Amino acid sequence: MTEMKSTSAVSPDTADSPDDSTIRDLRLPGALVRTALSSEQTLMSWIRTALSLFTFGFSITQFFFFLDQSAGGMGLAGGPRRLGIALILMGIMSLAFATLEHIRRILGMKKEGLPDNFKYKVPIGSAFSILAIGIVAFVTVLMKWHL
Amino acid sequence: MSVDTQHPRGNTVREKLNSYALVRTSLSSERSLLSWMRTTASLFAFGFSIIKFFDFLEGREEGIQFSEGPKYLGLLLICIGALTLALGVVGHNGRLRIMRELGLLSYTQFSISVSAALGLLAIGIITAIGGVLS
Repeated sequence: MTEMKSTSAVSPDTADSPDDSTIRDLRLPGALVRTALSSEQTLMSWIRTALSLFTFGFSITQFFFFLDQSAGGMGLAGGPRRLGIALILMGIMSLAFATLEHIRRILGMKKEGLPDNFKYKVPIGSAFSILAIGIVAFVTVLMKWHL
Repeated sequence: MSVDTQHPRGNTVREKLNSYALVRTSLSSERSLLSWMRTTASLFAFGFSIIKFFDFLEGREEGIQFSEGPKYLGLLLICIGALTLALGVVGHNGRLRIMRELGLLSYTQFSISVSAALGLLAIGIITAIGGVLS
């Protein structure tokens, strides 16, 4: 039984084939790519969070504004507008900081050996686009531009 | 917490692999907290909208008086949101503390996700107080 174990349990580290010297050690580059992808997933999670904050903030403001207008202006839209401004502002700030942190992590990993062909620009571009949308929503709510 | 990905702890491949595994786990924990934040934000939005909508209906026409039910439901949704977010922050902080003990490196102690979660919590508490006073 023990003999069977010793012959069958050959781990990749101890395998000693003549071609071993030509195999590149991909463990560290692999870990770096996994970490970069994990960072990207986190950025996309930030995008979803910021997008839901923008959506709620903008919708609450506009919904109660139109409700108020339809009833002849009872002055009930102030509270929803303040909540909307707070939500949108928090979404903008957190998405901006999270994007910068993601860029910093990717640059750090590039110096540590992240493969050069790793594509990292698309999620960052998406984050900046969503940020621009958030800023438009914020200005709209702040300046009371009811489109 | 701004995780340091440029200076993995140790020089051997195995030590660096451990460092990056901790970075991935901390990012995964951050994503969980963000999921909690999304859940909480929707609970706040629904709770607040229910309270305000019924306020509006009562104010629009004289003589209409709803029961207190919708207001309590709205407040309950906001409170559940605040409670779950607080528990999410506590859990995330605990996981980060353990990971720091295991060797997770960071540039600063300031964490964007925890600050954003606490900001959302503050907005929720202010909203709940506003709902009680209205």
